Amino acid sequence: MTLTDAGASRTSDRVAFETKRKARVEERVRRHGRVRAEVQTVRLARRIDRIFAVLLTLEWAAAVGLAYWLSPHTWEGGSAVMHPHIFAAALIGGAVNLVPVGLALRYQGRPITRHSIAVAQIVHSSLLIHLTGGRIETHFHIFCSLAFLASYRDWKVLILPTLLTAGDHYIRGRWWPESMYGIAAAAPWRWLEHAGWVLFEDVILAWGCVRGANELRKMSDLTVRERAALQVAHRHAQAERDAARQADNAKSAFLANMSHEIRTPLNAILGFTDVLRSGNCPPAERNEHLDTIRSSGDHLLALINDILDLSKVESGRMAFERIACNPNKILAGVLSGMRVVAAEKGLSLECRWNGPVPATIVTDSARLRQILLNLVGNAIKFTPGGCVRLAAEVVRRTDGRGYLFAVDVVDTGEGIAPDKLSAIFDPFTQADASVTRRHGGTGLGLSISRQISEALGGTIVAASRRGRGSLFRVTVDAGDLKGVAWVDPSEEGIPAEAFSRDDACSIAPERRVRTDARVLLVDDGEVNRRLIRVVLQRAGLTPVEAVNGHAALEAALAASQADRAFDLILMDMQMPVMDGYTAATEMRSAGITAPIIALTAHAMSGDRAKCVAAGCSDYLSKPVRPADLLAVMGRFVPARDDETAIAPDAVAGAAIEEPSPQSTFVASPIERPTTEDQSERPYGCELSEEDSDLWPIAADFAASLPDRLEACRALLSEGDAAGLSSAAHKLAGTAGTLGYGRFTAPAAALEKAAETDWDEAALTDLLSDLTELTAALHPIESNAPAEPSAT
Amino acid sequence: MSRFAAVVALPLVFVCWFSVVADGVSRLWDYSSAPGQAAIAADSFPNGTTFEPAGPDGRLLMFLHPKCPCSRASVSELARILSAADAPPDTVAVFFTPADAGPEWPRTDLWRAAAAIPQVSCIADPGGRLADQFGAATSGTSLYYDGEGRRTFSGGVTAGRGHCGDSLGGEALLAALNGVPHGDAAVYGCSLQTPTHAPRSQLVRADTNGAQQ
Repeated sequence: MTLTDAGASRTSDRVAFETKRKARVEERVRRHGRVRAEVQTVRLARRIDRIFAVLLTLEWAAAVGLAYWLSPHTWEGGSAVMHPHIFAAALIGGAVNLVPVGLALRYQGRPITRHSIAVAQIVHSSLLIHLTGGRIETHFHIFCSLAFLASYRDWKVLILPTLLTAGDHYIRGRWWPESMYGIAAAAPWRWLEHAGWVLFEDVILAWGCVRGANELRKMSDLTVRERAALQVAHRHAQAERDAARQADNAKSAFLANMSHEIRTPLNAILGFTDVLRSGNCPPAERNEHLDTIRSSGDHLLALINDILDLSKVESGRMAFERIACNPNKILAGVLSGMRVVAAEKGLSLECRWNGPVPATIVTDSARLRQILLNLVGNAIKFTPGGCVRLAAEVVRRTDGRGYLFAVDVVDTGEGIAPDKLSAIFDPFTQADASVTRRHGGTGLGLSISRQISEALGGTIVAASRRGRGSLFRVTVDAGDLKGVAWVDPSEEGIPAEAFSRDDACSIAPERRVRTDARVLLVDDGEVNRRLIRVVLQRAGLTPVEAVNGHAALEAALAASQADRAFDLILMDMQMPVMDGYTAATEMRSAGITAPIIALTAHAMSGDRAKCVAAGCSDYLSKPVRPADLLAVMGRFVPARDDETAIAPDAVAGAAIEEPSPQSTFVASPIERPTTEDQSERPYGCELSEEDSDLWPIAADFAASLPDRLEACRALLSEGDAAGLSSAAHKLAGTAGTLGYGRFTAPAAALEKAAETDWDEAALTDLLSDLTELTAALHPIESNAPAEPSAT
Repeated sequence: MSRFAAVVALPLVFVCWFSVVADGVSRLWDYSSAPGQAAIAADSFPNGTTFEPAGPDGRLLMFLHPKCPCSRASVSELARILSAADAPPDTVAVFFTPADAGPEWPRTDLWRAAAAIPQVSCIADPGGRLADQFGAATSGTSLYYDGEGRRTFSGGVTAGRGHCGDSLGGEALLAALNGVPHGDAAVYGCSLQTPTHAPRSQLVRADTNGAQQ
């Protein structure tokens, strides 16, 4: 496949994905519209039920009152007794109301309620007609009742009253016509005539019901759309308002800071100038004052230059040129410029290439150099001892259009607290106020550098661990490298091999694991077991494996009885048959004292407490980093003093904290071009070469992703919340551990969404996100821009 | 709604409900369609009454209880029948009045409604003596005697208690008024006799033949 074909294929996939997404959104709107219409219909029915409950009660009272008014007594000559109509109105009316009013109070909005109301209403009509002696005017009660029943917008509610009316007329017309028509031999079709008029009204009312229901549905649909649009507009307005507020605050803060930053050196210049002008200054002090004035002037100049740069880049007036330049030379220039400064602090400054080196990239070399000088200068400034490393590479853009030139600037300095990490890119902001006093600087460098890198089509992100060091990764657009030669960087004195993790910059593990420790590894996931097995084997350990808590319990008991008790148990907490919590509790109950280290994809603080409460000794949240795993194990089964068994590779990754899945650094997937020696690393996998023995496991995992997601879809369609949550849980944990950190956050979100709020649309969206990420894992070889030359 | 409520309780409730309502309606229907005691009237105009002999168009008597609610329909039907008759006869509405009641006792809406019909004159019947003489026991009882004094119709003019509209009795009366009598009819209304009255079998009527009814 050519690069163009690949691009076209990706564009086509994106269009298809966008079409599907729109269809999903449309379907969701329609579904919400239907649901809203149903809700409105039920609300309407409930309201009408309540009205009818009142109406039926009033009709009952009216029937009794009417009976009393029209027929208070029945007479036998001169004596009178209460008329039976009064009893009939009270008893029959009450009996008629009993069920529909009861249902209207208990089951509002249900079809059974309105149908019983319809029947009661017609019986009330009959009662009223009877009590009024069959007056024709009272017959209007039937027609009014049908019209009122139609306000349910359910034409079916008209069926029973119509059948009752027609049936009454038919039966009485056939067997007692005199009671209905006053004549003994009424024509057999007369009941049809009466029923026909009722049907006539029914047809009109039913048409109104259907039309009303349709309009309600349309309006609901429209309302949902309008509400969605309103919400989007509201969010946009809110975002714009926040952005404007932030900009305003930033401007105020900037002015305040600038004023302060300019006043400080100006004060020194003016003050010492006055001192010198006074003429009372001894020569030794005079020179000192002049030095201060000079350094303050330099600082002021640097500040003004920075401010001008910042102002230019923010206003878009900074000119950038994009010409072909040699990245290797840029790196060499930066190294030569900063090596003296690093050497003054006793730091080693090194640079290497990860992967193939293009002869040229298309960017603004001067601005790129400015950025790198700033980052390296910062690294040197904040690193009291150790080393500063630059790792350069070219990576394919996620949109498939060209490449990025990326440089990682890594130091072994003080590190930056996580809550300060994002703020350091704000103007005049450093990790803390004392930094300026100790190290100087305007506080504008990183802000300018990030903006320049963004103007050059990239960005700068940072990751750090306090006390261990920091990593700044700068990327700029490298242009289309099609046809560009690939060169040997060593001509500029920069090695082509990537840094090894056991070099001078690495930090040795604090503890090592005893190599003869007997370890029980419990995990139901084959991939996870393989992964941890490899890590343990690197450390010289051969674990016994169990696939669930029950098997683990049996194995631990058997080993204990055979006097070969395990020294340590690694326990996954979510497993079928018996989970880790139960297994740990059972083991403790059975007297097993071996430390149990819980492995779970849950990262909440309460989970640690839950694990400890179950009897676990410690807790590691997935994705589990090999170094962390061995470090924790080393606390429980430390190596003996004479033991140096841990292979250096086993602590790979300990030197620099890999950014968390939530950080910007990992959130943007990077596709790396690769040379042949890297071709075994699964595409998109972020495991380093030091973890190359994990690559086959990662490859198997990547290959299993479509099946895993298909299984998740099946669980979603079955409505199996627990199953989906469990599957997502395993996916989140395993993906992160195997170098697919980008899957961790969406998989964790899927797990949480499945167990807390079963919103099918949202779950489908999350699954689609994961599918899209999976789809991006194509073999790199077919997308390589050109065959890298090894010259 | 629980399964029990849906499958067992509600159907049971509905069956009971329909049964109770149907029973109530059928009892009301029975009451409304139960005729009062039919008149035991002589075949010819009785002698010794306060009425003048019948004119050439005969005489129509309607015995009413002034406070009987069902008789409103009878008066209403009377008006319709008289207006439909070829030659409406002199008609007297005889209103039962208890023996100890004052003269205003029978002056009810029903009296006024009857008095408003052309050809109809209203008289009070203290103690129900006239009703006894003519054998009328139920309010609404109508007796028509033709020009020759022969009774050609006896019965009510409604299809049920207080039920307006066409009826067999109304149809038969109209036919009799038009000279083609074809039978009597049931009468629906309050009783004209107080329960303290002597049994009907002991009543002696002053008819032309002096026969005991």
